[in-house]
Amino acid sequence: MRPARTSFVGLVALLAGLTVIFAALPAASGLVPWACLSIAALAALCSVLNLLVQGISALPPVAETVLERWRRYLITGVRSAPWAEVMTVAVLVLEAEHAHQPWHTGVLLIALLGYLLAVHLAETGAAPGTLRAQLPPLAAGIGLAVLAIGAGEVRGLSAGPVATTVRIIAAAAAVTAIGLVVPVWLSKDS
Amino acid sequence: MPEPNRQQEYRQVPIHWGLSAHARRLLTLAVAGLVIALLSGRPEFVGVAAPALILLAAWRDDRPGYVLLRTGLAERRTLEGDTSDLLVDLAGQDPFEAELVLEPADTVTAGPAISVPRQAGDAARPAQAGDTAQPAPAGQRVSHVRLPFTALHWGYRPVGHLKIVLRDRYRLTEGTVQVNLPWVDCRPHPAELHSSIVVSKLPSRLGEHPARIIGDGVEFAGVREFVPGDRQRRVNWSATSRLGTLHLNTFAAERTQNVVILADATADVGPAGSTTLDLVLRGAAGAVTRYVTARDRVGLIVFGMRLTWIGPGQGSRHQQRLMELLVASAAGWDRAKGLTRLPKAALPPGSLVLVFSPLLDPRVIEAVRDLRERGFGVVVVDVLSTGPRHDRSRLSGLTGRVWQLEQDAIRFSMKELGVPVVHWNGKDSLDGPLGAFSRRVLAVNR
Repeated sequence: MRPARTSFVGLVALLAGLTVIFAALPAASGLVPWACLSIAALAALCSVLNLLVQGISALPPVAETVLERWRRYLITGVRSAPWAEVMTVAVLVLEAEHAHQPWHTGVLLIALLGYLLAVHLAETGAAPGTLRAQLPPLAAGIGLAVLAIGAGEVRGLSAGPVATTVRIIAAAAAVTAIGLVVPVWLSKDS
Repeated sequence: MPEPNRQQEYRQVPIHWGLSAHARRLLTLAVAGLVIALLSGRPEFVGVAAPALILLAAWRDDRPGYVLLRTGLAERRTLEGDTSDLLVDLAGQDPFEAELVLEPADTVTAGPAISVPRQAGDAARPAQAGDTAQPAPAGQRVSHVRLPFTALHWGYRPVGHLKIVLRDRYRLTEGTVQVNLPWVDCRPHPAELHSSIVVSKLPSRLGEHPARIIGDGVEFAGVREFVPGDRQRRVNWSATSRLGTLHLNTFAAERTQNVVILADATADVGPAGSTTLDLVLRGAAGAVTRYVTARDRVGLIVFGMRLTWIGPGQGSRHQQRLMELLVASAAGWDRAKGLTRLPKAALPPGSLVLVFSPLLDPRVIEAVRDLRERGFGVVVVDVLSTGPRHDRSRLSGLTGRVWQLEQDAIRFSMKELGVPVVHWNGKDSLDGPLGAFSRRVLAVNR
């Protein structure tokens, strides 16, 4: 496997850090949030390390020094788990532990998607242009997410002009989402 | 015109399909979002799952089961440290993007991965008439790719594996193809040698070295009085007018010489990449190249696990045979064999014998003594640059000194016999240690 692209590794580190910090706010007390936060932080760190050691052989040489042996253990440990997936689940559980804040979940989703796309670019060494094909389905999905988040907001709103406005925005998002999904489905076999 | 080192037929290689790491991460995001939404009753987590689900819905199910592949080496023979190319012809991967990676074997390094885009691009072009001996099936687009690699050490060795990763436009599915690659014949890098040692008595074969006898060469040898039958064009008019009688120029005859390279493969000690065996083979390869280029008759004896040899000969084909023998000879030391007399067939009388050896095997030393007693002009190139490891204890230091004294005694006894021993470190040109012998002829007894 070839080495990861350094510029994207920096982006991954930035997005991972921001995602974990954003999911942790506002700080919640209790064992589960702290455990989730710890796991998410560890997974974020390991996912960045995993990209940094990509392309480095972890096969034991004929003779190795103590430093080389610890380095090999570190590489093997970092590669032993799918850290990006672990971080995704930990961050979502951490978010679910917070009080009901749909907009917070929406922002977190954007950060998570950015993090996952950056991991993909760093891992494969592909140019950002390769993600162009993914943008329409992602935009459609984000439209649906806005709809769901809007539904979440509506549930907590009382009747009045604000609630009406939110409902209108949710409906517009639904229309936009459907408008984006249909071309994607039609172009699936092209 | 089909290339000789490339497979002549395409072969079907099955593709192993699976989810890409990107798709696995998206799937994790979707499943986690849906599960949390169900457990917590919060609809916004369904929204978290939505982008990933929409993207995963674009999954393709019309994946090909195999690709058509043809591989080959741009050059079957290469020198250690020189870069060569792996030639790959790939068909049947459309509409997927293909990434070709050469996963090198030990002591081989590979260049970067090369991507073949989904449609015709710079790295790929459609198959044309004459591209292949057996063209790919009609309608298939053939991509021609060159992947560079460098063999770092001599030997007949595998290049490695070719890994092809096929990706769809959404990068959700990955098809993997892995094939073994042909082996490369990597020759030792010849040591630099620009000068030649010439023996005093050259055999009567036409060559390029001026001999002591008068002949038809181009090197001026002297002036003598004209006798009937001499060619008039060689009359020296200056000497004739000065002396009053006809005089003419004489020229030295041009002869070739027999050079036998003795490569000692009995020991392989020293740091990896520049062991004594590496230096022996590089030095021998340099000498073979130099003397074949000088149109001398060159033979080779490899003194290793088995005694193998090729008698003196000329020409580039003979040079290739010598280099193949160098690489193919089994190195090591067989205790059961005590052969010290080298075969007469490999040693024409009056040959120049160049010995590349670390002088660690008594049989080689005995063989060199025997060569000298038989009247050959022998020069030994000592390639030993390492010694036994020892710690700071007195006993270890004592054994190290004894070993060094023994080595000095071996070299001294060689010089006493009239066999010059020069040291070569494997880095510099061989002209340095052998320069002293290239400025004068080396005495031999025929």
